[in-house]
Amino acid sequence: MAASLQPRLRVDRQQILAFRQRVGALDERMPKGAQSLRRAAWAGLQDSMPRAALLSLHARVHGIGSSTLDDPSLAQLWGPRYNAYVVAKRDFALFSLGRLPDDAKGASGPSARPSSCTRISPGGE
Amino acid sequence: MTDREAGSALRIGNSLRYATTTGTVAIRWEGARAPIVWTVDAPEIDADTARRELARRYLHVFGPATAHGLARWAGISRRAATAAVTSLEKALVPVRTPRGDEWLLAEDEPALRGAETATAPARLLPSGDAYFLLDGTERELLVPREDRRRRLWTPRVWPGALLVDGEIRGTWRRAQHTLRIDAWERLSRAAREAVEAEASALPLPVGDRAIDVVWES
Repeated sequence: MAASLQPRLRVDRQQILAFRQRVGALDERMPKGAQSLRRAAWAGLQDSMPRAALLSLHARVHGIGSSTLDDPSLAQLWGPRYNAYVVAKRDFALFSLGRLPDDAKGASGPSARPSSCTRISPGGE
Repeated sequence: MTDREAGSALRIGNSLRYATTTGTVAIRWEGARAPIVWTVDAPEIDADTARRELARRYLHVFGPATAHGLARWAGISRRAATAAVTSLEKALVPVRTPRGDEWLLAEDEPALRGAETATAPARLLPSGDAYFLLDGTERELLVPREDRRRRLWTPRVWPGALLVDGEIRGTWRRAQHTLRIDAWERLSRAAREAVEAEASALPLPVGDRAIDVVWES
């Protein structure tokens, strides 16, 4: 859906990048805790490259250690585009069931794989 | 049980990952071996509710954005993405950006209007980090120069991105304890020191050895 209403707000590149860095906690690290881990993983943390999710957490949260992915508030799954992702455990359904193909509600399978699903894969798969 | 063992037992080969959209398959993958898989309880919310919240998450982190962008990022159909965004329409505001008209969560409008450039000195973003997990013209917004886009979004495995003072200013790759940085421009001494401090703080299992930073440019 393209935005079809008359925009009341015009923004430039700098505003957008600053906004994304702020909401993505890339301007300032958050104190460590279940809430900040969830915020850091608000759109999931892609983990296709070994330890990528851990480093994404480190970029956003203080006190991340090599075993942080074992935190009980986190879970790992095949998420967007069927890549490995780390998400907050309480958000598991969003990144899994939320991608259930319309024509496969109850019958997901390879044929339901979107043709575009590899276009933004960092592994070049 | 690994995904391969489960796929073999179920006679579905490598297709097990497509069952993830049932919401009942969890994994543990640490990079070197096949993922361990197991089932979890079915979610308590329905698929439409989950997708609507997924769209809300996307619009917050990647906004201003479009339904087509959601489709690409999530790996869902454009129809499904459009339906999800449409269901949020009362919570959205249209925004004119350098890419055209896009959507923003209304609750994010004050933050976007007030977004100042308070930036971190340096961050080493890993391959696939959400900040540059972009496609098409989204990439042009983040990295205006085409030659630099080619160095970040490579045809094969992407490098990490070097975020310095709010801009992507290079890439990085690591092998064991050596981290190689390809800076796209001359960085100040303070910026280089900030990058090296970030490198030394990476939570990586490299034993007692410190990370060695190699500036390749």
